[in-house]
Amino acid sequence: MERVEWRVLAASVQGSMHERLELPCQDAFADATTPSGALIVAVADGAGSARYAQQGAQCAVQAMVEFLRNLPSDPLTNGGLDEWRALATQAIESVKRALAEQAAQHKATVSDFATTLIGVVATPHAVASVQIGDGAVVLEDAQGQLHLLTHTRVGEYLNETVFLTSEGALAHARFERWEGTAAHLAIFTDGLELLALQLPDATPYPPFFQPLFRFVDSPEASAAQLEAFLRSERVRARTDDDLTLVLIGRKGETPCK
Amino acid sequence: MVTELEERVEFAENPEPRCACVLLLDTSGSMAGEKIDALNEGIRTFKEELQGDPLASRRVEVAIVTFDSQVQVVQDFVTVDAFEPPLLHASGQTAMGTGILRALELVRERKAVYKRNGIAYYRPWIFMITDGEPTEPDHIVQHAAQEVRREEENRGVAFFAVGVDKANMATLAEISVRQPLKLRGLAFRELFVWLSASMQRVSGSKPGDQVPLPPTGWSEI
Repeated sequence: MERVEWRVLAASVQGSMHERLELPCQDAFADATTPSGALIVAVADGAGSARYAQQGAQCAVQAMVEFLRNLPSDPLTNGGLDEWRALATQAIESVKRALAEQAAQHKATVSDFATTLIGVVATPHAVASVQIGDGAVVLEDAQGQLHLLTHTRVGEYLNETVFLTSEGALAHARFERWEGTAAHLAIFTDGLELLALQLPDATPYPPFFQPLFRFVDSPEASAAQLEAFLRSERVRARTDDDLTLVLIGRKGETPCK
Repeated sequence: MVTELEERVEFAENPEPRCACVLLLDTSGSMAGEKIDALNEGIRTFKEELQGDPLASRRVEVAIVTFDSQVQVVQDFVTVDAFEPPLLHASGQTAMGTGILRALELVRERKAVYKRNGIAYYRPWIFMITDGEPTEPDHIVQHAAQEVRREEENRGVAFFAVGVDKANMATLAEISVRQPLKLRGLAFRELFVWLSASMQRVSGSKPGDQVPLPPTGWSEI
């Protein structure tokens, strides 16, 4: 059986608006690899207005990863999009239960833990995603073509989204499954959308992704360097939101200049 | 490597998202004197405060509609860096209802422009400041109040009303879905500093946030 060793680099930084308002960074991410080598990554963006947004985002990514890594067989082994949809729906329900437990512990309501959530599973032959709320996943195929795996825009205004804890959240969930060998993946929260995607069609912007994908292939690349990039003046001049960026490559790929 | 990454990554060229804000201002005769002077000063403060925030100065678009015996769009939507605060004068009656309808129309037109040009935007604000009450026929005022309610329900706009001095707060409460606020004395400067801070929060907010607005230090309790 073919096996891929993934390299995952991730960084979350607090936005300048959150600094000014003395709010913590409310993004979170988690990852895990199943025994057979499927990579699972979750990214969440807590609602700025929710009391326990940070805990909500943290709890959501952990519960999502836990659910998908502990299945009897790998999440993408069987079936196609429909099977993934059924599985990911169960995953979301388990995340919602985890949030409800947290809420009960804090004697709070579940909406105090409002957060968005993106879950991604990558195997050598397919990539699948589930998304509630904003943010996006971009994939590079073996030929170097970029694909927008998942991205949502809810409602008329920029500052509107759906949260995991919103009523009818599942109806807004987006499920995707892409067949093929992904060379690279990028998962990011909405703070990076205007920098990484070309509106109005949200087309992945190659000059944004290509250097980042080359970077993740280089053996000396570190999360600290990625974080420094997110903190750089150039990035901060364009957005004051919290930012999370997860880059995924395959180990053993040689960076080409 | 760090600098390399920073230097190598290019950003998509997207139009800056916009955050429209209409100042809907009472320039009737009762505003004459120190009130209109303080209001003019407040508008200048508003510009200065927003200009200090690089993101807000690119994203916030200001328009000014005045109402006295006439309704006038003194300033159509313009980004903060290009905004020249006008010098307002006070005289005449209080065509508040007509002013509200004009402001709502201006917002609708602006949203259409954004849509046509593929510009992402935030929910627009209308910020009304008055020291009196409408002097128009009831049906116009009622129509304006209905339209405000309808737009608020459809989440088309956020409408705020601030009463100054002897403003009829009961009438304002009938028009504005949100609780109207009473300005403490002539604290226009504080009011506009607050409005600027609120706009900065909205224009930098992330999707879905019910943006927590700063506490108002300028209103009576």
